[in-house]
Amino acid sequence: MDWTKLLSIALGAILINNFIFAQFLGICPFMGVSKKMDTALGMGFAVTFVMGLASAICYFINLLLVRLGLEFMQTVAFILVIAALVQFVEMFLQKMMPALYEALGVYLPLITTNCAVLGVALLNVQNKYSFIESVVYGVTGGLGFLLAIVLFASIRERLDMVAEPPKCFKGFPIALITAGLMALAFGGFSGLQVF
Amino acid sequence: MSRRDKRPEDKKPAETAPVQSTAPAAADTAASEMPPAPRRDRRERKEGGGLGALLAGPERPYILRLTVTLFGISAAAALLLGIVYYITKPVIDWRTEEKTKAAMAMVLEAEAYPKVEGLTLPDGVTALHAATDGGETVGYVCEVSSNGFGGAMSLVVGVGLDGRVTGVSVIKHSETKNIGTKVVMSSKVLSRFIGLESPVTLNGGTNRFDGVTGATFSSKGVTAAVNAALTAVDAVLS
Amino acid sequence: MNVGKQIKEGLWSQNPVLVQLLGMCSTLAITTSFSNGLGMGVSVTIILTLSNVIISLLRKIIPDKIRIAAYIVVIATFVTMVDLLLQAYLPDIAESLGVFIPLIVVNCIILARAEAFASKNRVLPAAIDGLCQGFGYTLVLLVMSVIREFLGNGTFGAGLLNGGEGYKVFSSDYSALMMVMPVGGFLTLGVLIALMQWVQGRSAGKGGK
Repeated sequence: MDWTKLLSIALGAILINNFIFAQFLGICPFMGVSKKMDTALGMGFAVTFVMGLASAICYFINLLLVRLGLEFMQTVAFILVIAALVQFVEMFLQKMMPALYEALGVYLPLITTNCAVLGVALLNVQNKYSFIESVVYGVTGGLGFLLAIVLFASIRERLDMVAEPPKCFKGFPIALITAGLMALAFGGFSGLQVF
Repeated sequence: MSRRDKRPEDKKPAETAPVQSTAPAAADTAASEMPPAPRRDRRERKEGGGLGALLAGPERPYILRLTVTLFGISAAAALLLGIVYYITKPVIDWRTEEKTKAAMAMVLEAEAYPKVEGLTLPDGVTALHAATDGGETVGYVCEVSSNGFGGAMSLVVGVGLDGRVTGVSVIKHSETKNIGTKVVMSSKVLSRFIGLESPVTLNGGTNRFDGVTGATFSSKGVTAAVNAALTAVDAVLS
Repeated sequence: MNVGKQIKEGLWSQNPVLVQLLGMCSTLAITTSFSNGLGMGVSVTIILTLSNVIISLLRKIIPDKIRIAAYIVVIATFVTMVDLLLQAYLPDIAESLGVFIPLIVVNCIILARAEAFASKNRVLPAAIDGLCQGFGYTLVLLVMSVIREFLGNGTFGAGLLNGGEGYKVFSSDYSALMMVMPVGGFLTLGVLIALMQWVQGRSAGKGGK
């Protein structure tokens, strides 16, 4: 197992090519769920879990598709797998961890339409990652999403409470500009090459 | 139910299809930003038994209808996709082939580029082709991939029988526009590799490639790729 | 069925990106050049219209419980179709749009319109709705692309005009490169939405209660 490659994938997914700030995957829930810290945290963990699991399952689905010569069915197969996965995760949480299920509420099914989950499955195929590499990319991509959404939520809570932007900037616009400045900061990580 | 009162404006009635069809179980999704917001019906899920109870119960014809509909739609979809794929595949394959051939012709002109099989290639070299003119090998062309600033990039490197570079061409890259592209998209810069032999050093030494200021990673990536190609060809030549 | 109203809504008052705040992932990622914006906008419009039509045709047949899965199958099918056709006949656009073509499947706009409109209306209104919302989306993409490309590259029409290079308005040595990087996307979209909210706020004020 090539540890340096795995570590560089991890570092890349969390900092250098952060799914939100560099790759623009997962913006909808990022903007929608980050108004409060606890929902942001819950969503971040849920997405990390789903992304890791989806990477694993889609790896095998892709093997099957390649074996059958049906690569063009990737998009269809992946999104259906993800939809089913989210469904099962929801049912599992409902039985096993009802508190978390309550907290996430309607946001859990939203993970299906989260570009990041489908995105990571497709990127795994595009980058020709092995099974371990795919799962690492999925999990660390989710952690990058978690980092981004938690940082953003901490700023946004205060934005909504204390800050007084011009009236037409209230709500989404000022949030987007904040995200832009954060993207600028994260841009400083590009070119980081430790491994 | 207290749960329903606590819930914020819900976006969609989300029901679970209790049965597995050809496509995995139906999704229970809600798009967050949609304006109309009907309530979510949770009672059904909490009360009902399991899958087994539903399949055995009086709701069977309804479940059958769900399955058949979903199966029908999926089948129609698969058929349509199959047709489009069948039509477009030859075109796509032809394009990929043309592109690689054109790239190879740019680095080392020859009639044909048959692939050399059965070699252990160094890291990064994805394929080694012999460039043949009228059956005689006039050189070698390598397909190499390496890492630049923005991620993986694919190159084609031509090496003559003397072990020297005949040309470098970058097929695919994600380098930054106006910075990294000054290396990877500039035939003038890439032509600096011509005539160099293994190992090529960056910015120093006699057998060197002069990189572009401010585009160190892109320069490094291309140099690494060229060196990998040179190593691979040297192994074949000896 | 009021076509004029649908056009006005799609392009302005119910603009999918600026008012409904949907489909932001692709808007931010794609809009670095004119041809990218145009290519993506047209692709989404086509997929949106086609899936609206099919979903409207099937709206009486699809049982309520599995409708989301059915919508996803339909949308994913059209997305893959468009992906294959682009790869075959417009490979440059396919390459620059990259992974965002298959991601059109999870573009909130398409699912939202399917749920909110196509499943409740007849075929022709659904088709027109698809076209109008698609045009609104394309319009925003083009505006953003032009702004980002102009400020970030000094060109206009990259990918289409001037043999792919775009008409050079000023040298790229003087351009703000950050505009074509993620920062620029967020900032531009933020300002555009603010502008939209300002205009709508003013017209609401003028119109009175």
